[in-house]
Amino acid sequence: MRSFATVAIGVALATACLPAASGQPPPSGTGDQAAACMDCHAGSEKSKRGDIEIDPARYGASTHGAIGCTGCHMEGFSEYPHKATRQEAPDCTLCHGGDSSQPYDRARIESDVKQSIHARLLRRLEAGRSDPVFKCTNCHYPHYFLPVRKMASIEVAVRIGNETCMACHARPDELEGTDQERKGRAPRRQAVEEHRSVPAAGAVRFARVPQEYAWKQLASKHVWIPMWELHTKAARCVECHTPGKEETIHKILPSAQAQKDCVACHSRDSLLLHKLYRHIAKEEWDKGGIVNAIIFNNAYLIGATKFAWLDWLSVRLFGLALAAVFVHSAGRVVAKNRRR
Amino acid sequence: MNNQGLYLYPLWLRIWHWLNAVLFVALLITGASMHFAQPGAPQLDFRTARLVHNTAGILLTLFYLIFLGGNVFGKNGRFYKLEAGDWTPGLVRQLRHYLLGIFRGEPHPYPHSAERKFNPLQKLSYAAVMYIAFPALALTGWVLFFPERLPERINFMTGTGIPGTAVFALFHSAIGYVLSLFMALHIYLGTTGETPFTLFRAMLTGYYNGRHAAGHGAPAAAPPASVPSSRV
Ligand code: HEC
Ligand code: HEC
Ligand code: HEC
Ligand code: HEC
Ligand code: HEC
Ligand code: HEC
Ligand code: HEC
Repeated sequence: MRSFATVAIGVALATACLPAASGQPPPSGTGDQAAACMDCHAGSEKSKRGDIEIDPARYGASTHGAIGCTGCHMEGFSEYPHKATRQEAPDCTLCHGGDSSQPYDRARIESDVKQSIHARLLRRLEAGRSDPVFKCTNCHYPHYFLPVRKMASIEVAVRIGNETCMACHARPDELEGTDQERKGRAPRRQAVEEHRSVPAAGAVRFARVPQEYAWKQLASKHVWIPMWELHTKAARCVECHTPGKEETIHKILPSAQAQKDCVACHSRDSLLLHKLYRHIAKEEWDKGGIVNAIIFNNAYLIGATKFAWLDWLSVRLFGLALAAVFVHSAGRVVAKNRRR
Repeated sequence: MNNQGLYLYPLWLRIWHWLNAVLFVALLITGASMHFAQPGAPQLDFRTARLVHNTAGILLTLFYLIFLGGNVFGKNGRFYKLEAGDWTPGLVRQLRHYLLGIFRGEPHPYPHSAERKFNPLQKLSYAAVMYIAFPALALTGWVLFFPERLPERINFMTGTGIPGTAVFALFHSAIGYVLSLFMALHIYLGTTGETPFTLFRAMLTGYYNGRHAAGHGAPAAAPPASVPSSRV
């Protein structure tokens, strides 16, 4: 539950950082307003169209649940048919730009996204345009967004993180779940394609995702990694597709530079600690005699998760045995010489 | 018996023994190099290690099944059958020999013969290794071969439980440690023959040319304390 104070601050913040559009005051979007929109958009009788349905529960639980719909869809939606479209909705950076405060260094995220392979491919595609950007909302569905540390579990974070990429790198029909569930896994390819047709500023004119990026083909691109499905359940695409142990998951590299070294994850200083698990306090890392207990709580990962006491005991027993062998053989030599 | 010594180990058995040895060492090295994987460490490449470990594990299981079949259907099982007197005085006498007698140059208490290939210590430790430890190691290894089929969490006393893989990995590595320890001692005890090389040579050529107790009253000789798998 969010307190009224948070709601008020949220809306004030949202309103403050949004540019006052075309002179009109942006409609305040809390409570009744959201309810007014949800009348049609919660998937009621009035709207059978799956692609405009928004699950009120997931929306309410999301980061922006406290901001009303009109915090982002500022004008043109108060009556139906609407006068505005989704394209006018602001990207995340509009409200969050330049803010480097932890835990999310947003300035860093923004520059990482700009340096990512997607933005670079896009720039090439869009040569001549001033600032074509691969938008945040191409990956993040704004209505259900949650940062990793607020997700229910690491498992959920992995699933949502991977679905983020799979939304484009797989054919939608190959994803599991109902239409409504699939919709939460933004952005749908259709959204990307729609962006192409809209020559608005900042619109993503992205090439149609080629078929060979479909899920199965994607699996075939990763044959060198054993048990691919097991890996995609315990690690995210961004773990491998962003640079080494850098604490970034947004600087997606050309595939030739992706992580191929198993030991990067399968070792004590696993890169997962710097990416997937980075929000978990360092005190939790080793606990109860288990190396990397935070990973261990979710998955057993050979090389990274270990029973420290077992190694301790075994190495010492082995050392003891070798010492005994040494003493024993020395004794035999001495005794033999003496007997002569 | 001929002038080369007592022919103890037929060719197939020696091949079987040394293949086992090579596979076990390969498993030990690759297992350790995955367990202690570190970037930049002088280790086997992780993928190679995994491949070798899996292959060696499968082959070793196969060899073990041959051994088991031989023991159940063949005559070899009798060497492993425990008898009255194996623990006391057998084990006690054998241990006493390694701790005391060997320094005094005393003869081995259980000299080698075609009917009794193992001394009590060998019999007990080989039986434990071949009938308990190795099967457990192989079984946990095979389970770890299919991590995606394992329960995600296994609940013991704790609330959230621990990953299914971890339970088997714990036993697998613990038994692996124990067997490596066994192997180290096994190799060392292999030097306790007439000369440090007598028993190794026997395991290579098949001929045991130390002193033995084959029928006549020759002084007792050291049974090859090595090679658990040599007696099929
Ligand atoms: C944090 C900003 C934000 C908030 C709050 C927000 N939206 Fe959106 N919404 C967007 C953006 C951005 C898009 C465009 C997504 C795209 O197509 O890339 C969008 C798209 C939509 C769409 C088009 C269909 C779709 O799923 O893309 C509908 C319908 C919609 N919003 C309704 C709502 C309703 C109803 C609410 C309140 C319950 C709401 N929005 C709150 C940012 C927001
Ligand atoms: C009377 C029912 C109704 C109400 C109330 C309503 N909408 Fe809609 N809305 C729709 C329908 C139907 C569509 C599908 C697009 C269309 O047919 O124009 C839609 C589409 C949208 C879209 C996507 C436009 C696009 O570009 O595809 C957004 C964003 C949106 N609504 C936001 C809102 C917001 C914000 C509110 C509340 C202030 C709201 N709607 C209230 C029925 C409604
Ligand atoms: C209309 C302005 C606006 C837009 C657009 C917007 N946000 Fe926010 N965001 C806010 C406000 C206001 C808060 C504070 C909400 C609160 O604390 O209740 C917030 C909070 C957050 C937080 C902090 C959550 C936490 O619990 O630590 C994250 C992360 C975030 N937004 C990410 C995004 C992403 C990703 C997008 C794009 C999909 C986005 N925002 C779009 C206004 C916006
Ligand atoms: C190529 C896809 C992609 C783009 C583009 C993208 N992100 Fe992300 N982002 C992700 C993924 C994947 C995650 C991890 C989600 C998970 O683990 O469930 C993430 C996580 C986040 C988080 C939470 C980080 C954390 O550790 O909890 C924030 C905040 C965020 N993104 C903001 C942004 C902003 C702002 C932009 C635009 C500048 C952006 N993202 C663009 C893919 C993307
Ligand atoms: C909005 C759709 C979309 C999303 C979401 C998306 N991608 Fe992409 N991605 C593309 C397209 C389109 C290409 C370019 C295909 C081409 O080269 O023709 C691409 C290319 C790539 C490449 C290959 C670059 C190269 O070297 O050729 C990688 C790697 C990649 N994406 C990783 C990811 C990861 C990881 C995520 C999730 C964080 C992700 N993508 C999310 C659309 C998307
Ligand atoms: C274990 C590390 C790892 C994970 C996890 C991983 N990838 Fe990759 N991926 C790679 C590597 C390495 C390559 C380059 C393969 C090559 O060059 O042969 C690659 C290649 C790719 C390519 C380019 C294929 C091409 O034709 O060039 C795409 C797209 C891609 N991955 C997307 C994804 C997506 C989406 C996910 C998450 C579901 C993912 N990857 C998870 C390591 C990984
Ligand atoms: C992005 C990090 C990452 C990389 C890179 C990676 N793995 Fe893994 N791997 C994992 C995780 C996480 C698991 C645990 C899965 C589970 O049990 O839930 C795992 C599990 C495994 C397992 C199953 C046994 C176990 O430990 O649970 C094997 C075998 C394995 N990986 C081999 C490899 C090999 C070989 C490579 C290199 C080609 C590799 N991995 C690269 C993260 C990674």
